[in-house]
Amino acid sequence: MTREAKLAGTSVHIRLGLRRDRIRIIAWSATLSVLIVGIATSWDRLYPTEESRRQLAATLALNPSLTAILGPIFNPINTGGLTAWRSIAGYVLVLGLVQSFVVIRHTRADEQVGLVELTGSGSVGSAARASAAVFIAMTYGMAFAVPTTLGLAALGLSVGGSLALTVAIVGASAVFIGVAVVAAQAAHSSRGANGISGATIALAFVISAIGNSSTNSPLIWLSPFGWAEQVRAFADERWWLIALSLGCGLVLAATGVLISSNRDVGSSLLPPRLGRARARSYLSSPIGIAWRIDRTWLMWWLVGSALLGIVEGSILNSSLDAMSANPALTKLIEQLGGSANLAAAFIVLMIGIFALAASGFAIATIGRLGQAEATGLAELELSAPIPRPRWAAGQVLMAYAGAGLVVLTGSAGIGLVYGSSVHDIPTSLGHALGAGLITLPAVWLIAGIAWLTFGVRPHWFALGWVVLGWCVIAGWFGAVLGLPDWLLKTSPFGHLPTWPGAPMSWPPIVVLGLISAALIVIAVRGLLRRDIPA
Amino acid sequence: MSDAVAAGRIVTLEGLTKKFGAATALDDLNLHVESGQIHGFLGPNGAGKTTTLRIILGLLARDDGHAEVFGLDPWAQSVAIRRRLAYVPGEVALWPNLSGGESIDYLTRMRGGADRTRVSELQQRFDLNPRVKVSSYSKGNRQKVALIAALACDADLYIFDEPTDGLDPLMGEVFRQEVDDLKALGKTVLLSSHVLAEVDAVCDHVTIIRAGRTIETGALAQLRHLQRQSLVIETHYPADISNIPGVFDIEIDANIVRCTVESGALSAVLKKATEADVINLETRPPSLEEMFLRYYDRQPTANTP
Repeated sequence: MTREAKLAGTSVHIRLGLRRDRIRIIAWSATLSVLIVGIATSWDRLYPTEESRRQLAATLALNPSLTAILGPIFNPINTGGLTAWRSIAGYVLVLGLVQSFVVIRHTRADEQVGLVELTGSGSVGSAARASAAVFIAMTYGMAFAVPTTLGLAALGLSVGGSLALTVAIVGASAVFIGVAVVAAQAAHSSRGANGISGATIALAFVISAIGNSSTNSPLIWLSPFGWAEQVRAFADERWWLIALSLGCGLVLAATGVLISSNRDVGSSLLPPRLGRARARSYLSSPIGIAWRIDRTWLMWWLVGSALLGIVEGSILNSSLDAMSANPALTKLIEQLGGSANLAAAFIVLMIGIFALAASGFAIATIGRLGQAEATGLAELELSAPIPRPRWAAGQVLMAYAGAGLVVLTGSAGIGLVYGSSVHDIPTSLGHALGAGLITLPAVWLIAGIAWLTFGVRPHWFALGWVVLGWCVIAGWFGAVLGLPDWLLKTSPFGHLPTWPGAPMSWPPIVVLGLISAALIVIAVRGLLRRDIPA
Repeated sequence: MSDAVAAGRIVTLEGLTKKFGAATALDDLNLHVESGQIHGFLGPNGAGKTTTLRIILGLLARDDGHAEVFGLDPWAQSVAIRRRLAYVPGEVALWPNLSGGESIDYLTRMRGGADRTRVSELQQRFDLNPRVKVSSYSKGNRQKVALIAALACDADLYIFDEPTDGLDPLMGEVFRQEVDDLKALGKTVLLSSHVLAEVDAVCDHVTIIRAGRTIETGALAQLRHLQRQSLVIETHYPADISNIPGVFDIEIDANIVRCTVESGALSAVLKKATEADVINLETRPPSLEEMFLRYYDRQPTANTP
């Protein structure tokens, strides 16, 4: 086949893909660009003087764990420099994951469900689908970069620096687009391809974190995270590093496209693994199947949660002194953590991250019910003699209990590591686990919204994600963005007592718990009354 | 238990209606399945077959009409009904990271368990490797998983929605043999299809629906008039077939005659054609869509038998 023939139909696929993804593209573009512009506006309030910014940089120099995660700070005096430092690693991480999953959704996932056989039977070239997926993923990057560059420039930051920042992020993320194209050819299932992509991004992040934690480590040059950071946006930009990222992404993507055009539809580089011929005996109830389907997914969450807890516990120990020397930072943490006891405030703050993440776990886990309904699996399961609530109970229990475990595992990590450093494990562990337990009514309330929408009106399932997104913004950026208190209180997390830093208060716990219980009851009633599929 | 069940009626649907928003899926649908019948449920795509089956399963609530399955209400007493049936949906989705064998075990356990040797026998007959993960299965293999899980269970009523749609012809034949075995055991089968030939091959009774409405029902033998052949005959001299009973839809274009013919009238038509010196002869069974167009949209254009 000629090159033209192999690429025939690419533009049709691009148009189809952009049409399928238009809402997602707009949502991600808006979220990512508003957030980064919000970060940029916060510095003048938090660190108004040059002196306070120098002090911040000095504090950070004493704190290798924070530098490891966020990267080095190249220009602390400049608002743009601070924005670049604060956002770049997180943005490469998030955009990289988003774009990877986009590529895989438009390639391997479509292939797996047989969409390729449907659309591939026309006059479509063998390289069209993968090429189109790269273009669609790049659209996500452009939809973030263009408004962000304009927004930062509108704030008065230098146009060159703003452009360097966004293009450095998009460039590093392009490497992961390339990885995803190859992963989609290597793995037989979209789950497998997502796993390869996610693991590669995590590895790249860890490599750059290790590299950043010591000076002049060559490791930073092995990771796209390091490349993006070393572009040094707003600090005498090194543009050629962007070319390195983009070139690397292009080579990987081209390799993936080449493989895709030389293999059969449905085949993969790695052979599919065989499973068991017979099911184990626990696989005989909805709870059994939920455990079987989601146990690996839960295990990864618990591993991640434990690791993050350990990292946070050690940051807490190493940086408490440094932080208490910095009144502005202390003020921020005490404001977010809700108490005057810096260590307690920090623990509550960190556990708040676990609570938000666990809520995401719960929504996604309940979301599998909606997927089962959409694919027709629910119809097959519900042809067996089980009542609908029992059918859903396995997945819902997995979501509620799993979310609780995610929070408590992270809390235990913080408590154990911080406790061992201050030689008082029982107290720290008790405080951390207690603070974790306190968040559960709010976590289950968010899970309850997901469960409610599934039970009553599954077309509205995205509501759970929207509410969670709002909780993240209200909890983490609300104070920085100067939102009014009543608005912040619309988040259930805003009502949680900040024990152990402040005295325990039971009424909010009871009220949130009652609301969560009510959501469960309404969801069950809705599920019993509605059509399946809705 | 109602009188209908005592008389051996398994499914009774009368005047069933179901709307989805503004769209009407079922509009005065009737379906009666007696115990021991192999009942074909025939209609073109989008006629409302799957909607009807979902109402029987208690997944969808009917808007109006009377429904009884095993003498019970399929919406209010669905679990009790499902205890006695096995179902294979038209589009089979499964758990992607389970193997086929695990899926079969789980599905049969949820229906109260199945005989192990029967499962192995079915896996062999349908040529299914139970160790392959579902994510690697084709549509046909996913369908086999659901078929094996249903056939391995001891149910009173088996419901199949377009069961051979993704199967290759060989496996379609295996399925037909299994349905014959169910019939020999006195089981009741409701088989939905849009392919007349499939229903013809295994069913003894048939209900035909279109646009959510029942238009024919009865023993297959009584509905033989549905099985007309379409003929196109080209002859040297004009062939006069207009007076033969059992010939319909005659269109004459010079020496080319198009018509549909019941099987009983076929030899008479051919005799007349031979007398007129046949140049060319095409014949094919009418498609379901064609059948609906011809028999239900307008009156016969020729003499009735």
